[in-house]
Amino acid sequence: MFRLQERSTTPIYEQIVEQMKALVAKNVMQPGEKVPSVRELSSMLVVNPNTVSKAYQELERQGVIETLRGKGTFIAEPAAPPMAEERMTKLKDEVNRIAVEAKHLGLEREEFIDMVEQACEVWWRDDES
Amino acid sequence: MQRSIFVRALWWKEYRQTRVLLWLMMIAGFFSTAYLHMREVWFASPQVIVGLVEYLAKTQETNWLLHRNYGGFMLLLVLGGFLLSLWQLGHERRNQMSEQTFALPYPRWVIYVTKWLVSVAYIVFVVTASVALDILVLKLSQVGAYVHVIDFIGRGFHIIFVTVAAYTFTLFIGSFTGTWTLQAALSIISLFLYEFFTLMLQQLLYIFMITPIYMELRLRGTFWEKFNLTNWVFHEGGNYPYAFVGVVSLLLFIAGMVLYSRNSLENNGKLVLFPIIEKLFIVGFVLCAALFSGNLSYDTLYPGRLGYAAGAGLGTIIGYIIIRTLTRMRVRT
Amino acid sequence: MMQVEAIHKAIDGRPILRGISFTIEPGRIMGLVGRNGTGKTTLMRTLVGIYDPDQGSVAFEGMDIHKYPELKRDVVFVPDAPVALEAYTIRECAAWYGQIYPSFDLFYFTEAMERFKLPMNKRVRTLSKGMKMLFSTALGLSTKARLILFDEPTNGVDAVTKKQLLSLIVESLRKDSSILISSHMLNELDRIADTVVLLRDGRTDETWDLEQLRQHMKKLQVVFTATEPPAWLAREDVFVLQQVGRVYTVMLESDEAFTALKREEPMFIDELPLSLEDWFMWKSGGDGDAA
Repeated sequence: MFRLQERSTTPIYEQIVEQMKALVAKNVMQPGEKVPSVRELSSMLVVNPNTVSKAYQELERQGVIETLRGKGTFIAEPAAPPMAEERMTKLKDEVNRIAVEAKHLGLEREEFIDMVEQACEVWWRDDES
Repeated sequence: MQRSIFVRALWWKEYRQTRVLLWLMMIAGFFSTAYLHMREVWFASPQVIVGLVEYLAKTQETNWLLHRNYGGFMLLLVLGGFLLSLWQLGHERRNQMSEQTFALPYPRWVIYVTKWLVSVAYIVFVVTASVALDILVLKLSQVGAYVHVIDFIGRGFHIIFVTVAAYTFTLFIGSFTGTWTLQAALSIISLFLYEFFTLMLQQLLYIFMITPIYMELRLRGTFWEKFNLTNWVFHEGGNYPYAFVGVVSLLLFIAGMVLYSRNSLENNGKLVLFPIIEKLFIVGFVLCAALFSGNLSYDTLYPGRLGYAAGAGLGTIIGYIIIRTLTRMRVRT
Repeated sequence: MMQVEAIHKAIDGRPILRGISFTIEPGRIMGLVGRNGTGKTTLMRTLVGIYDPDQGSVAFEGMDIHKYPELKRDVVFVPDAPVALEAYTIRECAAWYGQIYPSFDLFYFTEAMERFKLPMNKRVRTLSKGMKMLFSTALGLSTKARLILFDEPTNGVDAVTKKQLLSLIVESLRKDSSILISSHMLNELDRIADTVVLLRDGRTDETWDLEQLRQHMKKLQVVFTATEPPAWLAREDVFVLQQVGRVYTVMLESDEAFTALKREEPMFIDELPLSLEDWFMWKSGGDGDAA
């Protein structure tokens, strides 16, 4: 399920956050589904439990998962994600940054849009069918 | 806080490490007591047994029934105690065993006391069991009427006393030596140390014309004669110095306990764990070497003061070289 | 949880530890790193009362561990090989540890032995190197002691066993317990340790928080326009890991260094993944005399 990139500049806790989000986006993990506990995941990945716990805190803050006292941690219902505004601003910045990079690399406008389309193929596949 | 000195985990560990010796001591005990009597009073030919009974009836000399054989029994037990002390201290300094022991949540002196108590328990058990079995063997035979249990109890007590004293001595030596080989060597050497020094000093005094050779060194009855492991074990005649041996053993026990709790395990594998004791040991070794080679040179090469002095000088140098090499050596642990 | 203060220790007249100070916090995994022969084992043995320090003190919950050995019911040392237990069977070891440590969890231990397919009546001597370490790690963890020290647990252990072993260790961590793990294999501590203390020349400078370390440090590949290497490379907070022609692999310790680098207008900057090993190379004196 989870696969950490040994050689990556992204910190481990961010990798966990991203991969959890990706699993939810791909519908591999459904809302209400139980996620491994901090201890289970840390043992699975051989990663410090405090790192996993930090990632879970971040995921909870972003409304991806929720912890029910005494029951465990579950994928949250995709209600209006918390901090939508903040994340939206961040997303716009990211898109902007990527566009700059594309321009700098000398891509044509269409080429770049194609590239974005391709990425969307993966994540919006279910909606189209 | 655990205040008791009876720590089950430590008793188990000591028993587990040395149980083979307990069985060996039991076997040795049986073959040097009950078995010998079985052969004499059970399996010997009827004429011999009848002769024995007649002799006992006539002389009432019942003491020899036990005395004759228990000398061997005691020596075997002393040997057993010696091996126990080697196993408990010298041998434990190998394979990180003492490191494991010191990592346990118990004070070091409790560990030392436990070792001692376990061995004393072994000795008491073996003596009691062997003597009881021996009494049974004799009682059930035709000489049964002449067996006085009280003699056996007295003798049993003496054997326990001597064995425990000798064991305490060798355990004490293990408390400051870094290898089992030196613990064994020093224990054995201490058997002969007294004789060696009397002989050597006598010779020295004679050669340098201080006293004639026929004059005995006045060591009889002194501390040095009594403080002598050989005398503790092989003491002949009555008047065994119980009080002296008891007090000295107690002091050695306490000294061993103090030294053990100050053991620096990083020195395991060296001859001696403590730098100060190491210096004493070097001085003692060189002194012995000097006396011995002085004597040797006087006897074989040149019988005169010069020969003795030359031999002693050479012995000092060689002895020093040997002991420095040995003390710098370190057995991998 | 444990305060180590100014420990000094000489062996055979040679100073091995020359002022070791650090604190182990509860709920954390701490890595003890240093080259071979820097005294990691000596230090660990001093922390658990096997060796007495020449100077300094080791306090567990404020009490001197060398004065109160009963504290060691909560401080367990797992050496790099269970040589002292070799004569015993696995069952005997468990029974013995059960007598020593009041919170010993026999259920946890037997379950671990079943998981690794180690029969309880097997003698420790007959186990392979990897199995021995799995056994002694599980035995140490079963004590449920609050502080467990592992001395190079993964040394000479194959990759699969190593993963099992480290999994076992990380999953045992609780809020009120800590783990100290020594290693010269840094890439494996990289992901499991919260903090790292570096042992060098018998001394420890400070405890490094790995998370902060990653935030403050950068590993870059830089190519400069000028043929002359700029003075920037000589900065205190810059360390050159490697140089091939005009391509430098460097580590930066501060953001100022990065800003300064941009002012140099290099031809090319690329960020590389940072590992503990790079940092270790720098801090342990990567001056060519590699251990």
